[in-house]
Amino acid sequence: MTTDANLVSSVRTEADIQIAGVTQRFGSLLALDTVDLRISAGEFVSVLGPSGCGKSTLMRAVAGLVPPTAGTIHIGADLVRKPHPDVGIVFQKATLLPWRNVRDNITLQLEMRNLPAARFEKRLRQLITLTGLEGFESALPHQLSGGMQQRVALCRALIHDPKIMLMDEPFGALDAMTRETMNLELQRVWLESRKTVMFITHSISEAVFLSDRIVVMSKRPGKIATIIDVDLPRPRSFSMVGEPAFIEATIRIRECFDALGMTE
Amino acid sequence: MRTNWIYPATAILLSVAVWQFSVWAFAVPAYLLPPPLAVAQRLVEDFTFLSYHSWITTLETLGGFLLSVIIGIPLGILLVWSRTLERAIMPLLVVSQAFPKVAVAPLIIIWFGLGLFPKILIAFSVAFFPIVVSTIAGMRSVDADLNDLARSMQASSLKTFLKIRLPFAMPQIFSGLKVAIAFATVGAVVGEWVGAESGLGYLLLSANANLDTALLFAVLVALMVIGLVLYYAVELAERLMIPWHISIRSDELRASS
Ligand SMILES: Nc1ncnc2c1ncn2[C@@H]1O[C@H](COP(=O)(O)OP(=O)(O)OP(=O)(O)O)[C@@H](O)[C@H]1O
Ligand SMILES: [Mg+2]
Repeated sequence: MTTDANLVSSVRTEADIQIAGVTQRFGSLLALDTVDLRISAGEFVSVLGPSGCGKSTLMRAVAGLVPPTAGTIHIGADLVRKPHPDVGIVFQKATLLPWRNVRDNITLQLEMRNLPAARFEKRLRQLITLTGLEGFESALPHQLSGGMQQRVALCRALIHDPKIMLMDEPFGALDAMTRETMNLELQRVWLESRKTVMFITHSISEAVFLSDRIVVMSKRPGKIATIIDVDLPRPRSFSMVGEPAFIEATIRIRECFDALGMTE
Repeated sequence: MRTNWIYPATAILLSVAVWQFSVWAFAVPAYLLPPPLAVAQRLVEDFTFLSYHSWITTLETLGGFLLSVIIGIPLGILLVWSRTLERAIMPLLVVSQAFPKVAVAPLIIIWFGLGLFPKILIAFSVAFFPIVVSTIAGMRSVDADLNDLARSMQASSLKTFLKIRLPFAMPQIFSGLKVAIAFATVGAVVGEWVGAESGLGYLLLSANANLDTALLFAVLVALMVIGLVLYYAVELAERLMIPWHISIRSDELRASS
């Protein structure tokens, strides 16, 4: 399987994320308080926490969009000061350009980065097939469902083959059914490429289903409360929700939420 | 939209019929209210004459409008780009819009004479503000996540501007342009009232002085035609330049009806 080859190669390139002592202040508000976290290359890590605990702030710092007040972030050997070339981002909103069709929305990433479209043509077709967007290449965003739009956003984040994926509640705006489908699809995409993923979500089951590890954050100031390992074999399916490992992870997260006084 | 022309057409025909009938029934003197047929006759008889003056007014309107576009859109972009500039210039713009520009028209005529140019200036002075405002609003309407996305793609600010921000602002800019084209016509006519040797505004004044009410009405019809043609020209440009926006809008209309 090519999956193994990809896994090996991405481990070798060491595209890990090292967050060391990151603090973020907005005026008098302490949004993040000395956060330390290392996400290994090829690892899928979810970040869970109540609204306003600084999940997006942490992700924006990793993306190099907002420099932290204190602390450092490294991607591989590079200190992050500005957006890193090896990163793809997906937001809660699909943020597609309404005047570009599916194909051109995906290749926007290449245009903006001055990458030759011809070199990525094959990859573009693979991604479109993988995400089930075949036949919609020339549709405009407003003709697509929310799930389809988010698939396009996913392809756009992947087209330049970044080693790191940052996803901020990418399926938060979708209905429960579509969300499960998207989770399955994301898992499939991830298994094919083994990107290093930082995945922000509000959904415990989504986090358990997708992640190798789950980071639970507490609110005010935003801190890492606990980190939970999920020991479930892959590929996972939603029929696994009844398995002891799935239930155990879920209970541990709930206990942590209760201890922190969060009612999610 | 396109199938709905029957309603306004019927309404117009009906009111013209009522007009014709009441002039006849109440024996209204022609200098107060000429019957529509007399106006129509005048439109036909004086067609070349009216066309000439319409052409002058159209030129002034278009001149003022184009000047507003050339100055207003870049100015709006500049004001969004630099907060310092916005702080310095925006209050001046607002003040300049707060007093009636009609009041400056005599001054402009004194300075620049009776030709086309002063009318273009007056048309510009009323048309450019809505363009600046809508450009600013449009440039600001870009989603914050989209800005982040562009930055994460390491795009230059010029590329981000050309490929994301400007196209995003276009629908709002066009709604400003539609207001501006109507304002420009008003500006041109006002300019002609203050001092001119040709144009529909000038014709209005002289028809008024001669109590030639049929001509007055004919001029109003000409003004209406100019207004409609120019407005739909802007809408056509919108259709050609941002077809995606038109299709979204009509889809939304269909969904809500
Ligand atoms: N640019 C900013 N300026 C000022 N305050 C900010 C800024 N960005 C975030 N904050 C504040 O920092 C805190 C953390 O915000 P953040 O968006 O990271 O939370 P979050 O965990 O992503 O929440 P949600 O789950 O609702 O998305 C909030 O109190 C927010 O108001
Ligand atoms: Mg957030």
